[in-house]
Amino acid sequence: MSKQLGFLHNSEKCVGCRGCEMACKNEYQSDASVRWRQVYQLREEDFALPTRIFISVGCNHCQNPECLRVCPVGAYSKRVDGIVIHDQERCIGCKLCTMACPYNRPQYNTTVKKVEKCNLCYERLDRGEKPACVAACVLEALEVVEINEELDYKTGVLKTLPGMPDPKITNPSIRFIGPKQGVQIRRDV
Amino acid sequence: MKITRRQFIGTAAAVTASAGLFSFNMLGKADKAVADTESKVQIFRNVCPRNCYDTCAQISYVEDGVLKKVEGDPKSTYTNGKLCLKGYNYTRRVYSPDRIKYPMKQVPRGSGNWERISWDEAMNTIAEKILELKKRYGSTLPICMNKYSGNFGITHYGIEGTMSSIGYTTRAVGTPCWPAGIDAQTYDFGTIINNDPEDLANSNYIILWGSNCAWTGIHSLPFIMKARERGAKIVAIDPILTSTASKADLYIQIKPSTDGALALGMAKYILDNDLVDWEYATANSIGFEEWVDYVRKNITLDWAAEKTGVPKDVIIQLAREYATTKPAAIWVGYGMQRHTNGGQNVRIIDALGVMTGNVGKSGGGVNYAHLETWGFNYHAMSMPVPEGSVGVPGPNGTYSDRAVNMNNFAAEVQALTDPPVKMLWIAARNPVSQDPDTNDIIKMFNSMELVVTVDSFFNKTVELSDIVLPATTHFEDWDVMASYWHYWVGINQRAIEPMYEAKSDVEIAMALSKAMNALEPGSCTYPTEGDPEEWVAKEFNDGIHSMLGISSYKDLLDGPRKAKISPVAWADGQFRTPSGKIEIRCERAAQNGLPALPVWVEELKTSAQYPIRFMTPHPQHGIHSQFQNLDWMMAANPEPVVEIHPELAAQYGIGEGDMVRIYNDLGEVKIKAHLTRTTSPDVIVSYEAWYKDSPFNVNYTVKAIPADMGKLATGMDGIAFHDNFVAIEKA
Amino acid sequence: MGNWEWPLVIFTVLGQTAIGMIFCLWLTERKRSKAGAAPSPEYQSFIKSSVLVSGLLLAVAMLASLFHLGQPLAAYRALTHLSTSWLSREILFFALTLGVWVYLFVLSRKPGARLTGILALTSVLGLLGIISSALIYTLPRVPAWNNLGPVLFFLLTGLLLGALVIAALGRKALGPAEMKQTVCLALGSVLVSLLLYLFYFSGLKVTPEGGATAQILFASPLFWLRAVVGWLLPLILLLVTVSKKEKPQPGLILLVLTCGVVGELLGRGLFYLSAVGIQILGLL
Repeated sequence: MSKQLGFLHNSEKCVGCRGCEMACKNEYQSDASVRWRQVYQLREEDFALPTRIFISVGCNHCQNPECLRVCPVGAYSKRVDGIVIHDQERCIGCKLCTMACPYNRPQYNTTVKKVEKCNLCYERLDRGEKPACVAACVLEALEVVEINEELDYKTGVLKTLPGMPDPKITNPSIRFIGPKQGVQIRRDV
Repeated sequence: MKITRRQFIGTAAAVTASAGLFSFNMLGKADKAVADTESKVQIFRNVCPRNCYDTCAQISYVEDGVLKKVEGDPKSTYTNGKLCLKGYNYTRRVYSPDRIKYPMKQVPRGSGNWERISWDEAMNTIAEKILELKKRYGSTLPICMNKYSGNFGITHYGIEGTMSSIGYTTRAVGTPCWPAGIDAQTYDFGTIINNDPEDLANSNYIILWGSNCAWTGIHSLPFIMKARERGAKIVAIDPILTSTASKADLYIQIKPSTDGALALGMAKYILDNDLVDWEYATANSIGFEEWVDYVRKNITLDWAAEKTGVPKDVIIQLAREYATTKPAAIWVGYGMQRHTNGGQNVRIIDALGVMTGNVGKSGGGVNYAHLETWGFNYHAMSMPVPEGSVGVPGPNGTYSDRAVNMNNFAAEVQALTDPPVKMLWIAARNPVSQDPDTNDIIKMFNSMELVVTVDSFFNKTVELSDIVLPATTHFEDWDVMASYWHYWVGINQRAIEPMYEAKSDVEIAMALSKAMNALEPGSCTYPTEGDPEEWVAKEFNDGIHSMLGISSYKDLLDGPRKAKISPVAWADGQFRTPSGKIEIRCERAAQNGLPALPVWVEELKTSAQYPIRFMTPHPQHGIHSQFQNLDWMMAANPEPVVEIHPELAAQYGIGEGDMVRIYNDLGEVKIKAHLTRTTSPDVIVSYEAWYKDSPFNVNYTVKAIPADMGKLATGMDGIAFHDNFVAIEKA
Repeated sequence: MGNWEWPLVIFTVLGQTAIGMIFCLWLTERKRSKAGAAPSPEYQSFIKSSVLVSGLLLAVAMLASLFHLGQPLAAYRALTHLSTSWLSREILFFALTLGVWVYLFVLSRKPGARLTGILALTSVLGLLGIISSALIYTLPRVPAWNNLGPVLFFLLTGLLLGALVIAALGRKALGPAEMKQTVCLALGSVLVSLLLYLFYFSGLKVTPEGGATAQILFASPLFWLRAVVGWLLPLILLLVTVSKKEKPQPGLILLVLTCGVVGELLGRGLFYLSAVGIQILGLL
């Protein structure tokens, strides 16, 4: 049975606190040179009103993963549930995947001189637990979901947000609930 | 205590996987095997001892004596099993390569020429100096302690105990961050008590007034969001459009320091439109009619709109909504009261809560802080002075310590002559980084004969010290922690052995006592021996036991406990004022030279020379000078920026990424600009922090301007940090 | 992207030069074997040195590429993902090229051996290697590279420098017509490169990332140095040479070769440095 797991990130709930980033680092004690999950603050000018809007991006476990395609040693593989796994044992540190990914997710660990990236906490998932980032989000802005038509037809579920690379490049398994902006009484208008 | 060990298997399995056993099926099977046989991981209970609303209950995972990761304790309904970005960085603090491992001495001071010394040498040097000063000046008053919130664990009051045990000393008294609001609520209600933050979920209208809880108290946000799911409206009032304000249904950008005017405007409207809860106000307060009279005669909506920069119709809307939506809660953030009229502004907001009957209600309240769960013995602190000690003379031949204003530390220390201060003992504090008027602090440090600092990193205070003593982290020590916001209390176990030669503050006190008594028997009363766990046990009393529903501190090993007190502050109407009522008209305030009523007091204004307000609120990636210096944090947030409104930036020709020189008559700082419309057009913002290897320090331009209140409850008035006026130019 | 990538600069430029050399040798040998004239001792010596130099360049190039890897000793694993990875394919083709070169080298030491076939085979394998190299960088993520540009730039580097090295090594051994042909190849490469770049730049503006690459290049003094030393000077000098009836001055050939090498090394470094990848647009 093949499916595609991915992340659903809710910018309406997310305050960009970076708990998810650091929970991932805490779980794997990853090197300071890599950030498997990264919170980005989207550009003010891309939205109607200036507010602080955030997305959180781990690996997008793309349906057409560029990293997997370009890797000369076949270090990447895609599970039946869609998770793209990087086998650091095989990696020779050629960094081509870091060039190929539009989301900058595979990153070169300068200490071990190999690449690494988010693995959707597949070991935790296999044990029935949530990924570290999802479990740690105080505002429950991150979820693991099955990317399918049913999800995409849900109201408010978006395939992309302003500032994200064109999803047609790699067909990333990430969906968004866009930010909501309240009423602002400002002094600069 | 049955805690699943599954969480740490992830780490073990990840290591295994990367070692080449790469078969998914095999992993599944191997997993079960690991789960059954290989439980070498121990779990401990800890509590984050930082100066933070959330004071998270933690679970630490230790394997072979090494801390593997830290998580939130699900047993606390406030922590809810989750930490914050800082909490997840703790292994990097414990194992940081920058960590101070041994006692070190620096000759000369400030040179960076650090040399390792033994604990014996360190304690001897310090003991000799203390005794020499005592001989020279006839007392230990030349020794000055500055300690505050670096570690709020109860046993860290052993630092004060250290000082008491050697005699009467000079003490930095007061608290920099929140005392104006504390006094305001002390004048009004008798003391600070807030509704249980979990009670916010019951509110139908929440005003976050000068609070950026997304950064400073994120665990409260889910309760606020629960309220919203039930239909509550969330309002944020802040000069800065923070991450918190970005989530509000209504964001009001107010002119800094005019919050009281907004509240008075609201009060006027509420009065004029018959929305007052007279029953509550008259039954529970004194002086209400007098205040109402003041509002009627002196406040107009036009005035309020002009003063605050908030349009009249918005003040009306806010007032109507706050007064008619029941229950309505206000969270007064500490940033809001860091102004010269901060305390008064809190008093006015308190009055607003009283006038609408929102005080003493579930889902309501004017919530600031509490200290209800802090009734420990403070055994580590309560040490008698040695016999024959001389201090500041008091009545009937008694003596006392000499108080110096923590909030005007540099100036007041340098002004002391009888006797002068010659030695500093700094612990759980970083004045060179955090105090206003950095240049003066540096000057004062340079005038000392001996500076001893207890710390974990070579931060700015340590850099100007003669001796640094390596501190333990809370994972290496026993302690007990309470919060000043939620109502959970937790035990903190020693999860790993102290790293290198680090010692806790109580262990340092015992070592000093040994050294001092060896040189001069009886010169220090601090016990010289003591088991860390016992020190914690000694902090517990019947009051704490019954409040937490435990019979011994050991019960907390099973999990933190919530205090068995009403989640609604002042629900019982038993106000702790002299009159027993809410003192809208407060005699004590008048006696202390303050207005008796919550009337408007003019805000401090910028000058023509320094026309820009430079706000320096709390950062996201750290707590004051902690966390930001760690490697993961530096990778995520490598450098500070100053947030400037594009209109303001354009006036000075400053573009995105340009260096900006921010200066006034006190000093200057250069910071990289980030242009954003999320700040007010006349306010620049940079978040106070200590970045590793960086000279960045916002406090060079901050004057030690006192806030209007703080003396009553905390001994000294607070600091008007956000009344920091500067000029800027492209650097 | 953002880095000069010296190991890759040396690998690609030297490797492409080596293969370009072999290609030019093939052209020369093919004509000669058709004509059927006996090779002079100087020519035989030229063949031996050219083959040797091409092999040395190839070996140095492949050695240099190892320095790019985090785990150079595990480089052999790079052959294992031929199904989709152009990098795997590149390694395969270069390895095959080197392997076949050994046979070429052995043959080149045998007086009177027919080298046309082996030179053709080596050239084809090398060509496939160069094309694979270029396709490595033809990434959707990097708009400035996601076109025929890398393939054409890489091939032109090989042809330009290959021809110039052959002309330099064969300055005594090659006949006037052969020299002319070789020099014309070089001239043609420079001309096509220059025109190609002009066309390429106009296309870059289409995407923001491509536009950023164009900006980086135009703002870089090294780019202008590359343009002058790598295109302008060789263009002028080669035109002058070709217009003359006599065999070109050896000194001139060496000068153009030097300019060409500097130009291509700079150009390749800038190729890596100036590439801008599609990314999430926001504050990190």
